[in-house]
Amino acid sequence: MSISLEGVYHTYQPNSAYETNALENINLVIEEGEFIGIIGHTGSGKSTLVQHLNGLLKPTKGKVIVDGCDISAKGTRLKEIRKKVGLVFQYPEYQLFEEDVFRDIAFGPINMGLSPDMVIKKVKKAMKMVHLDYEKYRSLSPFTLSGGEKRRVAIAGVLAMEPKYLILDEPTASLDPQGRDEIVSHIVDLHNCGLTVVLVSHSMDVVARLAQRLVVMHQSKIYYNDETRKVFSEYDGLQKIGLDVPTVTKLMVRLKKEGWSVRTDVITVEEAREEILKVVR
Amino acid sequence: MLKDITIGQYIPGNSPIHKIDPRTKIITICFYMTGLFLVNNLTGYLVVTLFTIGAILMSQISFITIMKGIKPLSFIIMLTLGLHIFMTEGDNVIWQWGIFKVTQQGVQQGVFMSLRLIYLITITSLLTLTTTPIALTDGIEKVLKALFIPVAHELAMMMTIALRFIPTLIEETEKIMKAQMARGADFESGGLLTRARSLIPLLVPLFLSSFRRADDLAMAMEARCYRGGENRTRMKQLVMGYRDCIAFIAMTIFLVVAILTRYWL
Repeated sequence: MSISLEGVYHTYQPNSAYETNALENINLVIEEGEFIGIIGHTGSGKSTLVQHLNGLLKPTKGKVIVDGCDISAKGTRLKEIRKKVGLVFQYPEYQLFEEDVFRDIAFGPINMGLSPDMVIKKVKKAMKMVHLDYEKYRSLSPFTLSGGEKRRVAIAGVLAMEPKYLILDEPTASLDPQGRDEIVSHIVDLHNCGLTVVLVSHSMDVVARLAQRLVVMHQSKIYYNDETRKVFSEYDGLQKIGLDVPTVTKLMVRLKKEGWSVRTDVITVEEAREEILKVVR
Repeated sequence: MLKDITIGQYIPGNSPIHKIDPRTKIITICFYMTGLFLVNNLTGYLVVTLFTIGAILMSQISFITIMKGIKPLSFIIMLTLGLHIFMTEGDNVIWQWGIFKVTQQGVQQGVFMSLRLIYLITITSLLTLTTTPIALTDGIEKVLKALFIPVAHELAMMMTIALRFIPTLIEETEKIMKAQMARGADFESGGLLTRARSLIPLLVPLFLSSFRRADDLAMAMEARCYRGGENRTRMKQLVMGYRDCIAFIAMTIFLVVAILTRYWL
């Protein structure tokens, strides 16, 4: 099964002075088990795109099909779709509202109409996935936690619905390096557990490390949609639209320019190390 | 859905109405309202209607935009209409069923009152639609100062901030709403109590972020040495021009005509 977008257009505030096209002719298929990175500038349509994946927004034109279900069709149960496609917004800690961590994470499962036993089970499982100790955290107020912890609680709130697809919009924004690494490692674990992950990020280093496939958005359209390595080898193309390549790739490009015969399609530190050692020896 | 709210929205344009000084707009709107509440017969309402339509045409704002502003208040307008139709005493009974009685006077009164409301909303939304929030509060501040109201600047600043944050808060609300909907929250169905309860996941984060924003804003203003209105000067001074003269003359004529229709016709 998969999520597929066919010729999707989205217009904000149509027929007004503020009419803007946020998406233009988007064709994209997200297969089960994939890890996709979405990059692009602010205002390139990334956030609008991900909100189509679980039916929060509906296309002005075109089709979004989640596991065979057209989200715009009459009679489609959006709650089912949202259970299947978990969406973690940017700064998810700002949506915390309950008195304690347990109740906040349980919000999703309760909305799904699960029995109290099942809710507890799901909350425990979700907290384990983001390495929050159930006994220690369940009765704490979410507002007393640190930034990184809050974010993990918020992510657990989505995971507790046991989605098949997990979409994360800038999950590492404004976290300290330690908090960022923790979140990244949780995301890796989740993908290894079989979740399909879509990661929207500004950090080329993070997507280079994690994503198998990259979708580059530029001015409401898909600019590149290819294997991560191939996308990052388009150094000039990316620079032209004001995006960057990972730091290690930049290093390799620079080395090549200085006369070292290294490969430049390197995207991780480990690869770079090997490549450099090969040349130095 | 929330983005449809047009209260306080400004639509950029280049019409004569856009170019009028905000002070003129505020004062002439007072004229208009006085006139609107004075008229009490068909001729009077005809004058007001023609005048309002003229103003809208001149502002180059589409009627649809104006209608959108009226729509959220349609319930109050209908209520006014209904109350007046059924509650007005009169001798010319059109229809009667038990204690319910509709008189000709009632219908007339109901229509007039709802028209009054509609025009009131129309003209005030025309004001905000054609005036930038900054110009508007600038104008309000000047008018308040002219009336010797002591905290004119502070009041105007509060209004500027409130207007400035309407779109931000709407955006924020929409974002939180979506985030909670992604977790299966349902804001649209259920009885009154369920619906009220379903607002908690929306309101708690919204309040928190408003406080945070207020705090940040206060800090930023203080960091830039904001000390209230004392000795404060403006980068853009308001200047009255020939347009304002015309507007004053037109509105005075309107007011006189309105008074004439009430007392001499």
